[in-house]
Amino acid sequence: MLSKRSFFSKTIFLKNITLYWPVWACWLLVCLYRLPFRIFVNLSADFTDIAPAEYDRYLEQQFLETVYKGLSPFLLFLFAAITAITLFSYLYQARSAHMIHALPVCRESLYLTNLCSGLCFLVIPQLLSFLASIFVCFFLQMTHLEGLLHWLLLSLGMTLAAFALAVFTALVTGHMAAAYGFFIIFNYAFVVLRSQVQYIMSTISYGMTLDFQFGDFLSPLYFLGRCFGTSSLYLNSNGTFHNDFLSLTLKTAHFYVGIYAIAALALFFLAYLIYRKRQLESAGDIITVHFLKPVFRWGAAYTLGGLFAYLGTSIIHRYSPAGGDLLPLIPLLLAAEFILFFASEMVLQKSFRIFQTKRLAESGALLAITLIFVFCVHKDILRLEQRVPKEEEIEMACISGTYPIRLSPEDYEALLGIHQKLASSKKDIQSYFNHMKLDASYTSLNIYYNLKNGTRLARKYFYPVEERYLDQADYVLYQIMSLSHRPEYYLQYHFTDAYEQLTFVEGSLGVYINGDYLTDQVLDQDQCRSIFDAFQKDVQEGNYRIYSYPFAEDYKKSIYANTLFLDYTVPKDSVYTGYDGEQCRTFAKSVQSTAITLTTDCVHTLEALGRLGIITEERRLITEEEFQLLMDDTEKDLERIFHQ
Amino acid sequence: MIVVKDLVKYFHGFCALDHVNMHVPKAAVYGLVGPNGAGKSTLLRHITGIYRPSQGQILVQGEPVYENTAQKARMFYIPDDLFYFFQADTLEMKSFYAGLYPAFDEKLFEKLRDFFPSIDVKRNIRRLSKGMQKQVAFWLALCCHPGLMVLDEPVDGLDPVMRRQLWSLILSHGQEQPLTILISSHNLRELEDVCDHVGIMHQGKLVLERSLCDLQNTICKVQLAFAHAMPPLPEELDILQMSNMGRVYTIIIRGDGVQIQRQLSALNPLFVDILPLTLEEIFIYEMGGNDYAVKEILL
Repeated sequence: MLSKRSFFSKTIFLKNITLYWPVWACWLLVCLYRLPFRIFVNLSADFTDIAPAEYDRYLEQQFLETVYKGLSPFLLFLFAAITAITLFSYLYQARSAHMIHALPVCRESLYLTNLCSGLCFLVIPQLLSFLASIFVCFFLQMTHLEGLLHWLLLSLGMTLAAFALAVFTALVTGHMAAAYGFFIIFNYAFVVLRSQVQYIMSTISYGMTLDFQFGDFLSPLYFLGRCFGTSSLYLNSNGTFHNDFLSLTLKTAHFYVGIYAIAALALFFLAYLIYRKRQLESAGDIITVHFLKPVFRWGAAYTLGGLFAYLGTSIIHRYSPAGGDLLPLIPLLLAAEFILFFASEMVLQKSFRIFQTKRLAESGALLAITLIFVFCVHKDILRLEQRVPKEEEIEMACISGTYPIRLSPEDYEALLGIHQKLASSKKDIQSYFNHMKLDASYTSLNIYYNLKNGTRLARKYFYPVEERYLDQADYVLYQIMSLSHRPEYYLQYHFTDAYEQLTFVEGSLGVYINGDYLTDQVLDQDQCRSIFDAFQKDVQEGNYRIYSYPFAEDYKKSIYANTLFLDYTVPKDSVYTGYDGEQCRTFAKSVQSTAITLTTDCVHTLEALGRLGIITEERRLITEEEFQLLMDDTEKDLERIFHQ
Repeated sequence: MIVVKDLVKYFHGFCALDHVNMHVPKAAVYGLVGPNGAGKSTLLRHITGIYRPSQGQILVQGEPVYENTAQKARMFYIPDDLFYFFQADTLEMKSFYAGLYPAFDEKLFEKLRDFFPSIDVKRNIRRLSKGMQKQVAFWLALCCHPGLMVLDEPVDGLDPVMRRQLWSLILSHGQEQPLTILISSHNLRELEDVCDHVGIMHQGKLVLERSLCDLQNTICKVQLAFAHAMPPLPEELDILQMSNMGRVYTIIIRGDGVQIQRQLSALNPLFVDILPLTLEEIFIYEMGGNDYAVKEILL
């Protein structure tokens, strides 16, 4: 006899395993391909060109790279969604929902059995893949398997998170297609909403960049994709990895995934409550949880309305980069929100008869809130646009125009002067951009403050750049260039704050053979060191500079079109400034790279390049002006060939 | 066996069941009739524990049925719109039900193979005809040895021979062990042969619930003729309808048949006969006083 409250049904479990075998079989194949197969292929390659002394280290690096790149979460989330939605698919059709719930199985049992089935679908292939990888490693005589254990832990944590979100999604809707749609929405909703707010604010306000990147983790797939995306993970020599974009290390990765795993448990419980309360007559409904219906209407109206308004306005209108534009964005936004609000209501009701007084009032409230928000931002009710911090409030200040600089405290006063000037020039700058020609040049300056009270202030200003402003001391372009033109800022930008402790790896310089064909000259460690020493001398003597306005005619004659690349390592925790003003730290012996655009004034560097035989009469550098002529000639040659 | 107390169900504000009260005795064959949209299927889904009531209570053998696995293990529900797993054959479905219903009888399953010779047990059920799918449902249901069978439009799609055979199989099964059957249908003629209790639903309400025996004893159809004109009938007779063809009168009278025949014989007719009423006729006359068209119910 069945017990009255059984929490697991063997029959349902076996049904799941046998009926939905293609799901777990496909995932098993993916797992086997992602780990053991790729380890085998990558480590069985021909490494005869690797020096014997380096062989073991190289092999281990290859192994770890393969293992950690197997953490990419996209396929895992896809299969988690397929698994959860397939297992709960009986809820999406009235007849299957009725059949299953007429059986002598309680909802707890159905839920937990499906949960176990899903976890088996997703976890067992990963465990098998892990075991197969161990065998492959032994076969290839790899014995350092810690990386595999980290992979397993991180992978299982992410599996838990992905499956919990998928189960939750599967239960809040009564429609299979909607379930997949909602899964994508839940994974990206926060960053999309954040972008909408940022977009609207930057369009209608002045100088507000809204540099809030907080809450990325609320969009799990977006966040984990950035953490473990195959293009953003770099290996450290100690067998761990880092991700410079997110300051992610193996330790922090475990922390984040652990948080997700804990959140997954809460989500499983929430999903269970939803299932227990679920009305089976909701099969086929887009949303089955009553209180989520307004969230759906408002969310769809706001996000999709914003998106359509953005697309619509970008087709018919060119926005001023200095903000302040209300037309045609706001009318389009209101119209799109209204339409999307009722479109989502139609989807919810599965009916065209949706224009009820209650809904009209609700849509009115939505539009009113949008208008109030727009009004407050446009009129700068909170006086945010004019906010310039006092010098004593600043803990750290950065600017990012042509290159990111963390300013010394003695430059704060100059920065505040520039900031004050830009903030108070709102009308003039907006007027300039409202009447500017299509080919007018302008650039931007990002200012970031970390204040002593723990808050962060970020602003972004666009301003025109014309040659006539370059020598005017009272003009903002001149002041910014003066502020940026300091040797230590250049050195920190190119070589972190540990520019005195560099170890060069290699480098390269593109040179033109007879001023015609570009070729790369590879530089060894000694050459890199000599060039760096000469470059440092140029910087100290003020010969080197990064131009805010490189297209000025005078500059074209002095800036080279060639780029010098130098790869180096610095001690762990060396600091450099990111383009978003963040102070980033390097990881243990990670290789950094910098690109330097030389000018004709860099006499010491040019002399060193000549002395080392890297540039000669035949292999030389060409200026932007020469490069432009070369391009013009090439275009003419091509035209001639076409005409022939 | 089944007691439904003051059951109310709302679907998105629409009242699908409106304070329904119902009693199904043990071992009865209870027919639930009503037009489309009357709420029959909704009521059955409450009785099988699928839907949660908005208000009221459903007791099966004295216990609430919602989420009650012990009670559900003793009942079997055959809906109008059957569902079988994707690509499952009859044998796989048998294994599934055998795993869930503790009383599932494998021997009976084998024994009943002869009764369903046209069904290929290894063929995907979804590829069988609708009638064959229904037969599979009945086959599996009988093997579960349920104490209660809830059948929603059970014989739709079956040919007349199979209908008769199935009913005889189910009823004979009911003779071997106590079996309560609750059937919904919008066709009274269908139920007439098998039901001993009937309930009529209309617009979410159970407007009438009687045993067939009671119904047959409360209304009589009398045919009589007089040599001359018909004398005045006794005033105490509750005449529902009267018609005549020449000197032969047909009268529908509410009351006990024997007593009515005695009263009418006292008027010296040429003959007086009590004729059997069909279930359909009983309901037509019973419901005739209500404020809706009887034809709408009795299709």
